[in-house]
Amino acid sequence: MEINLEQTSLYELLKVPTCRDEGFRRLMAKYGDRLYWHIRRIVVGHDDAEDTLQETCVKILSAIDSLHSSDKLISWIYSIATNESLRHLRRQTRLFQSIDALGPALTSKLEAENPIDGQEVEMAFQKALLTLPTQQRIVFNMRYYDDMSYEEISAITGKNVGTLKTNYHYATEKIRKYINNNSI
Amino acid sequence: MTKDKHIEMPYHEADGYVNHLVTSATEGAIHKQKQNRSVHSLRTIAAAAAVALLLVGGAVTYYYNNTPASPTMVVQNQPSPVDDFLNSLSDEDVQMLTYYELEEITVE
Repeated sequence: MEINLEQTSLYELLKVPTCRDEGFRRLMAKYGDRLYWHIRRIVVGHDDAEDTLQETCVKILSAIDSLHSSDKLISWIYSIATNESLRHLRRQTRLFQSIDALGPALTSKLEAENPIDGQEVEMAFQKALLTLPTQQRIVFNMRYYDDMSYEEISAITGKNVGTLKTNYHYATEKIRKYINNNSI
Repeated sequence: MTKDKHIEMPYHEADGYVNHLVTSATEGAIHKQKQNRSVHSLRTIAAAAAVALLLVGGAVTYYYNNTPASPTMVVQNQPSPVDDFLNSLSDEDVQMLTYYELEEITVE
């Protein structure tokens, strides 16, 4: 997540009301696909990801005035995408149910959307991920798929680096154990 | 941050499809923002009109309540206690009152 001139110019465009729409289009053209995949990995379902991406875009555009530094632009949009994804998951829970309990439902969704054979390893890996608590899963995804540093993840999640390292460590251990237990 | 994945995900969306989704979400958000701005403007205008109406109404009410009535009106609308008393007297009462008339003092 390099801080560069493009990020600064995007920020400046977004801050000028008359250029905001254009700035937003450029921002999403550059980072939209990454945001989509980030959301998709959290909410799992395709339709859920599409809805959450839409909600994320609306939230980014409406809250742009609350952003006060170009350095934080990318971590800020990732934070919004993460929060909107978590909000979307919470809507699927029953009263007093934690989103961590959605693992089996998300696994069913994953299987229903991917019935094609020949992807056993990928499917098993995704199923292992869905056994993780949501917080660990998000940290693992950002570290593993997006190659983010702990500092970058910290800026997005608001958790300290030590906690994130612990989350990632536990996540990898659980995935390893799941794969060994399921003889993959 | 790179897009390389150590293990591919089992999702099948092509890049073109994802780009289409992103563009659609982007334009949808811009459209919604414009709609919100219009609704916000209408609400602001309606609120300003309501406040102006209240102020004008208050001013008119204040003006009418605090304008002094003319003296003639006071006389017509508010009879004095003496008038009230005299109007309430019957003919018998008036005759009774004559008993109390003082005789004229004449100086010889």
